[in-house]
Amino acid sequence: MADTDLREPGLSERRETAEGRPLLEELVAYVGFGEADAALLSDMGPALRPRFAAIVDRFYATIQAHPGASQAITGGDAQVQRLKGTLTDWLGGLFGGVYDEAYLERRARIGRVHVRIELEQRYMFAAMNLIREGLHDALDQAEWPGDRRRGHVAIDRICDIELAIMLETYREAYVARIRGSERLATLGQLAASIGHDLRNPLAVIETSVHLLRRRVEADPKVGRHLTRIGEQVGVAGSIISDLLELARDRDPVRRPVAVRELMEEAVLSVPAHAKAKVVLDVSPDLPPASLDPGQIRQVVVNLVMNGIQAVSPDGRSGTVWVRGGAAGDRLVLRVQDDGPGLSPEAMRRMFEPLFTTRNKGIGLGLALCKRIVDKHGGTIAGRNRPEGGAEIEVVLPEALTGSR
Amino acid sequence: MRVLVVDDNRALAENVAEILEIEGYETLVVDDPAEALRIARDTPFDAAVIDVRMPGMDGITLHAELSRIRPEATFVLMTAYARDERIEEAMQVVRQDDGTRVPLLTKPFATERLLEALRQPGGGPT
Repeated sequence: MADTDLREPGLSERRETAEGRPLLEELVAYVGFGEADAALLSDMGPALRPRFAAIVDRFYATIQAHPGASQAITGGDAQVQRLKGTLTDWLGGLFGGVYDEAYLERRARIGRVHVRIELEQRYMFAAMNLIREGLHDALDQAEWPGDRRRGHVAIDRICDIELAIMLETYREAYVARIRGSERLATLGQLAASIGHDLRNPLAVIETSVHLLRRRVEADPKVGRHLTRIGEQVGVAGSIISDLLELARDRDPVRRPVAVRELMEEAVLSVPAHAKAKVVLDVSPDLPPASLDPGQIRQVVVNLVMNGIQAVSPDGRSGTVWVRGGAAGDRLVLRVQDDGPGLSPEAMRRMFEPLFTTRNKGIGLGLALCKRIVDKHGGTIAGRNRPEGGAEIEVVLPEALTGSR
Repeated sequence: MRVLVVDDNRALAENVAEILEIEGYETLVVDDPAEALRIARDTPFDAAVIDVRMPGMDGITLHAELSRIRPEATFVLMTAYARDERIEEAMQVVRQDDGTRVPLLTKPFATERLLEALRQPGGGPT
């Protein structure tokens, strides 16, 4: 068992099966786990407890002897000692006697740690089997006056439930991945074919506007509408470009790039906004960085556009700061604003494709940023600044090593 | 100065032709690439603006055929599918006589870009 991390955000919705039945209820019914089993477990707990240490020792001796499974442990002996404490508590939890939604959530939280450290499912199966065997042995050796045959059955049933909970956490992670990158790719392919096809009618509109403008220049009102149509064709064209970039999903081609110039260029290419001031602040002694200039320029453009929209939602004015600096060999880019800041939901979902808090835009800009940063091996995160407003930080590791 | 405008989207072909006529070009609008090839065989032309993706014959093939018939003509390709890797790849081999690449306009394009492309050496209204 791995360390539990209580900061892990639990899914707020109630866990359910595909048929909509609560997961725990379904599991309990499936393995035939009843009140009697709960009572038996609660009753035999004190008798088995002295033998937990032996189970835990054997468990970690087995893991450490296995080259694949032991890779999940990176913190040496200190970590193993801590993990042994966690596993002992976990074993105690099995015999707690109350198996409700809160129990499910507590156990799932531990399962999610395994998913996060990328422990492969086959090791998880083997590990659960070690525990099951250990518990059966412990019951054989324990002084316990109850019905031993039924005791063994209860141990099997609770172990089955635990295994199912662990598998559920892997399924959760899989679903989250589908929702994220895979959904992005599928969406991108679909969008690209539509986007391409839209460019033909846009080209007709563009040229028709051009031809009309020559004929009606005398009437300012007509001219204004033609300008408007022309501008909107441009907006539609840039949305299509974003979609196509998503669909392309190409790997970054790194080369040494002057970061300051790249950021200046990016900021200049964002259409000026009357109510939003953009301030560029890049440390002058920043060495050239190894990155894909086209992709990172797009990241900066999208973040700045996002910031501008954040500070000027209802016509008030604000400032967007675009900062670039170094932290060791990492390139750190920050786009900050003095807008209203991020809601908890926005903070959790801002990089999900199609998530948007605004009525214009389709929610691809930040998703695209995340994918580009991921492909550079970097991280992107949003937070609220203590002085108000939001900040999105991009960290690109090994961008400043200078050798590539 | 006669320009062949070939696009299966007839509305766009006619708009492009109208823009060119205002600039003093003479135009021939064709919405079928095979028809364009037939016309080119017996009608002299100085330039051709060709859509890349068309049914029957793609614009890159048509360009190759037309430049065999009239090597000195100016060619401009246009496409709504510029980010398509197959088209990017195909464009690598599309060269003019002097070895320079044939200009490729991405739809929608600003009118000025089309006129610039036609004003390459050998192009431009007389």
